[in-house]
Amino acid sequence: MKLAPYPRVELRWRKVHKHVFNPGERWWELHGGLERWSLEWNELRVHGFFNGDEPWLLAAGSPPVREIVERWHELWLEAAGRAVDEAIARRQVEPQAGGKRSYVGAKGVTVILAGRDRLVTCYKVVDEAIHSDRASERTAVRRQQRRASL
Amino acid sequence: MKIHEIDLLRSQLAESLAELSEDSAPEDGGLERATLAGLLARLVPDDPLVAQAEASLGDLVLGAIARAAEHALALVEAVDEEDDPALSWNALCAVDEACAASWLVARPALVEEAVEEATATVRAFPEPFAPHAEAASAVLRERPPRAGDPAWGLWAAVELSAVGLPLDQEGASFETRIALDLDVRLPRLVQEGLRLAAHAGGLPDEAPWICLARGEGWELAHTVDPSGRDILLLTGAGESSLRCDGEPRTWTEDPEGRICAATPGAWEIAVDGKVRRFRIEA
Repeated sequence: MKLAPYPRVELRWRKVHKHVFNPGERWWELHGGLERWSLEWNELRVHGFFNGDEPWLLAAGSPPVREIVERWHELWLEAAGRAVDEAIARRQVEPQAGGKRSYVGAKGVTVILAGRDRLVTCYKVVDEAIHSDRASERTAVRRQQRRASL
Repeated sequence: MKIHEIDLLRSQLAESLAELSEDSAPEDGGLERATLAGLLARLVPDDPLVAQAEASLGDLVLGAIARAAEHALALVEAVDEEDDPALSWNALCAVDEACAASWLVARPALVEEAVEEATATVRAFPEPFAPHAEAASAVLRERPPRAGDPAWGLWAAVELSAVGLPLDQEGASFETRIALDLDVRLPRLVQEGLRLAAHAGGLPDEAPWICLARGEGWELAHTVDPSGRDILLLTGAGESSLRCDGEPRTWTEDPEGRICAATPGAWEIAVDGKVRRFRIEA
């Protein structure tokens, strides 16, 4: 599924800041590998992308940072669209409160959509022991279904 | 629904156990097996898969459980007020799962410090966790952690997270008041001025949403359609009938479910064999 990007650029940067460059979500597993991710993480750090609450937003607008952030946003959006397709094929879709649905794709990529195709957010659930991609997917499915069952 | 959760835990645990081969080290997947067995043991303590998983664990799993609790604490601390509730739920589950694993190996002390910090975070910043207050009640009522499991304190803090937050004028959710058949008066959701603001992009992306009732596989809500009109939306239910001021109304099929214009008046909607009553203000 092709998902539309957020209209506001700040929101796009915020998702990259919160999820893609959060080491706990291990986004390098989906694209480019750890070495490249680390180099870019360091480039962002040097430019203040991880500083405090608001300074990072200013940093995100500077050319070298913006290029990395925008590119990762595209990759993040593609990963979200792919996860929705995988979730539908694997029947890993659950309704959530507020008319939303959650979709769990391969490697624990979890997408929340409002309505049919409005992206709310996308994040990656990992098996805390980093055991396997399949374990991450099981973890995401378990948490998704647990929420739906209560 | 509890049976469904048991089935899921059994199937995941069986899959995880099947991934063990002769070449596997005991730590491979040990945390996942301890977690799944700990969660399953809360629901079916004598399930044979629990014993099988316990027998497969080595000492190295203890360090993995402690690290999982630290990772879970980091997830709780990273939750923002503007996050979707799915993220705060994921963080709570991560803490709860570390607790379940620690209880299974009879070493709750492994996670206690991290869980206490996570619980303190929920108490200090309850807003992002408030959407899960009812789920926390259900956990404590239907799938309670056992005595000595540090997850108790966590879920109790989440249960209290909605206390003091604005609900309706009487301090209860509309859904609860309708379920109790109390007098419920719903506001119109979108006034003309707000509609203009929405067209100009001045309103948040998400439509207002008041859950009126829900059950297994269905939800009845008061919300707005893309043109900003107040509607009642029923998703995923079977038979349903509705009346407004005593006059029958009909549902219209929509990609999101079934909808009906939410005009002012006294409504009676039958879903799942039970009638829900509320009034929409003019």
